[in-house]
Amino acid sequence: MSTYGTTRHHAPSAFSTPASTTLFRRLTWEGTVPLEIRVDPKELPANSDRGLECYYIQAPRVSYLPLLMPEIRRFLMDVVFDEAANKILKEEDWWFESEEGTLLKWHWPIGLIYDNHTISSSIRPSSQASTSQYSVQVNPLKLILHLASPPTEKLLLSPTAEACKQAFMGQLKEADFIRWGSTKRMTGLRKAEQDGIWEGIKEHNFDDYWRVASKVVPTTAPARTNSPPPPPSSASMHSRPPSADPQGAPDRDGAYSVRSVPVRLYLPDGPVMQDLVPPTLDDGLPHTLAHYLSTHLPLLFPQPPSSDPNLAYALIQGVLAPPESEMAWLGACMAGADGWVNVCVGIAR
Amino acid sequence: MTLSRSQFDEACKDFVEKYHPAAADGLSASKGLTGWLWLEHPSRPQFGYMQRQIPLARHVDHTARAMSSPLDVAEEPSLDSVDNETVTTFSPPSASLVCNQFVVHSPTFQVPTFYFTVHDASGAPLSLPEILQTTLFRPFALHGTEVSAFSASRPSSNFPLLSHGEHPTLGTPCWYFHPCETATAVAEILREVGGDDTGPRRGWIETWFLVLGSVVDLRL
Repeated sequence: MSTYGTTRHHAPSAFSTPASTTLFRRLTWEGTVPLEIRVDPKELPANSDRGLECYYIQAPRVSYLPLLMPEIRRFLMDVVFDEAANKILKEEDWWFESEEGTLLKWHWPIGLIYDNHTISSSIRPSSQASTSQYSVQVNPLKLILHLASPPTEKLLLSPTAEACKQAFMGQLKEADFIRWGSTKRMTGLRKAEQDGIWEGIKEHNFDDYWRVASKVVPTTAPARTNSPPPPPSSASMHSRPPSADPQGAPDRDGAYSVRSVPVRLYLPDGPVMQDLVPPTLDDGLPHTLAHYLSTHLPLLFPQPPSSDPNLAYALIQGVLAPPESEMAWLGACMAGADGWVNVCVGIAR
Repeated sequence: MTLSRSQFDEACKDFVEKYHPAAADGLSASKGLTGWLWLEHPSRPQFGYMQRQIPLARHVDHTARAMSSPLDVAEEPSLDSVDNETVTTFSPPSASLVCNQFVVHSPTFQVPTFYFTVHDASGAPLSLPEILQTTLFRPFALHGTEVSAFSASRPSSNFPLLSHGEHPTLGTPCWYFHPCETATAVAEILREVGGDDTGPRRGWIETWFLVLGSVVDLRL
């Protein structure tokens, strides 16, 4: 696949987008995770149809739990609830928890909820024989849906689509600010365009989303072809490394010109870590994932790598990211729809 | 004009020490600068923040409603039937509220950010419209903002003025003032008085409280 001069334009864009960038963006966009949603049996109405209260959905990683609620509600109406019960259901009182009793954050992208659950499980005692490698088996995330009395002490209130949209737009603007020190790229969008980004999420439409997002999210310039080869565990990804093109000037508005890449770091427990992530280091070399991890988690990711087996692993969009991945490239190609690269670190067994 | 995490930590610790109730004078107390503690995450460095708890009361006359525009009308009684001469009470005058206030570091904007929660005597959190009718805010400070269940916005602003979000260290739900609103004002003031990047950072926190104080009533 050539990245030189044959950029495919999905839509008019401020940046010419290499085909490899579009490929990884599309793969990220189309990533899904399996959810198994079960209503808390104690909350089923007296005359509902028991035994059928489990709903399976292959949910987009870039979507949000409140956006799934209408679909879940339709299922519950058809199968579980009668008319009377349905009338009193209020979606803004719904809340989700995992099997282990963890409250799920509705303002997190579903992919992040899933990966965070994966890494949290990595420190829980397991009854299964443990292996030293991260297992690529993809199990459904089992959720319990509660229909009332959300724990307002611990959970952000009001999981409406409107609140979700505002939180999402806030994250996009923060990402914009991190990259450029101002939010003028986001605020320079017309209102219709800003609404259009969210519509792209709601309708899960790649073209609608990127039609606007490409004006704001930096791309990798055609000359930079340092995207890593796809990791072996991502069997579902079509692997075609881009061809090398050593010529061409770096794009001034491109991924390597940002002042910092929007990145957050999640451990199995504890608060979320966020720090400045410059695209290049003081010595001029690109800031790699290996450097980022060894700087922030030196005990889990010692540098130089010790001869011992890996103590931990890093997931980005559910994929074991290679240590030589460049942070700027990740920011352009594998960020979530809200603009953030979420690095989830689990403990290797 | 920003504060890095380590500059923030140092400035806050200096501030807390300077305005410790034992050391501070009555003027500081009246400015609302006392009563703060510096707290850290039990196991993670660089997640420290300031905290204090103060009592609040609800406004007891209905002129307080002029502060917010009634977008979220479902919970509020109709104004039509209220006689302007009488006082409308929303709760027993003796009901006291508890406000937990936090000053945290915003890693995105690299400035302090004001987070808070308000609970009633039974421990239940207040809704945003209810919070706007307490003594937490200066009268009419939020005049002209659009209020929903989860935010208060000025139509011309990039970000909501007041939003709901998670405390970055505790993870609990809080209300917070969007940091970029105050940072610009602080920078202007510091420039006016000749502050610069090499000056003592403690001045930053005091100036920041000064700006915040125009919206939030910080007095104890």
